[in-house]
Amino acid sequence: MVKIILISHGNMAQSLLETASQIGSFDTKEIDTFSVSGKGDLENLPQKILKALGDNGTLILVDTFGGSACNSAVQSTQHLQSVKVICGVNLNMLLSAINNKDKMDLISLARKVLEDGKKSLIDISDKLK
Amino acid sequence: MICFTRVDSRLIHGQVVQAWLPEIKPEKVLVISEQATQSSLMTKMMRMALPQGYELEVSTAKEALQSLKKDEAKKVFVLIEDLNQLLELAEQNISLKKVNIGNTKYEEGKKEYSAGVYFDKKDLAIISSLQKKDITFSIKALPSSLEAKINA
Repeated sequence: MVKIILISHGNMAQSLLETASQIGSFDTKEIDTFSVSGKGDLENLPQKILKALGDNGTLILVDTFGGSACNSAVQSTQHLQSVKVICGVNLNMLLSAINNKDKMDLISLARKVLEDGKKSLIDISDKLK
Repeated sequence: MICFTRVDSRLIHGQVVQAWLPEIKPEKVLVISEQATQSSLMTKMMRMALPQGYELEVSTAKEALQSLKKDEAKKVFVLIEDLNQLLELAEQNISLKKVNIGNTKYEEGKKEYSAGVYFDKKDLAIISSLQKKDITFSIKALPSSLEAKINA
């Protein structure tokens, strides 16, 4: 099983996980969520990430590229080949990660989550015209 | 020419890119961070996060004067990692006038003055010494945020 870690500003990571649990069937305890918005959060993030890593690779999903969650995740794991960081997480990506984490290795999972994220952006109004 | 000075331990990140750059419209961002000058990864990430059209330079406080002299004709946004490095800049008589404080690192014993802004006695001493040099401070995360007061 690839470990999934969700990191965001504010409550997005926790809320996204709660929302995903209303759609998919999985144990939310298997996924760690961290925020960078509280007192000392950003300073403690590297050690929290390192403590939460899985034995069979870890996929870190962060809210936005260039944000402090992303920067900290990349800097604290850059020396580890068993970690991939993907930015711009949305509900489809999280569900894709959850549904495939037991079936795929880290590299394939990262690729799949990214593809599913890209596929999830649809101008439905335009498509229905 | 410095057009804006901000202290933010996160350096180039969302608030700077989304809110401050469109407000200030600098030509260049000069990042003052000892650790960033030693990390090619940090510099690479900042370059990627900074929208195209803005020049980027990463420098130590010591080398900043030289860089600013060279850029006298340019509008430079100076983004400083912490108060110690701000003090180093001021000690070289770089004209800072008004300093925006957006974020400082939390450490044990520091008191919160605004969301994400923490000072201890040493920080307040730096601020008060700079205020004596006619530098004014404004604690604001975003241009639209309410300004927090520093009761040094």
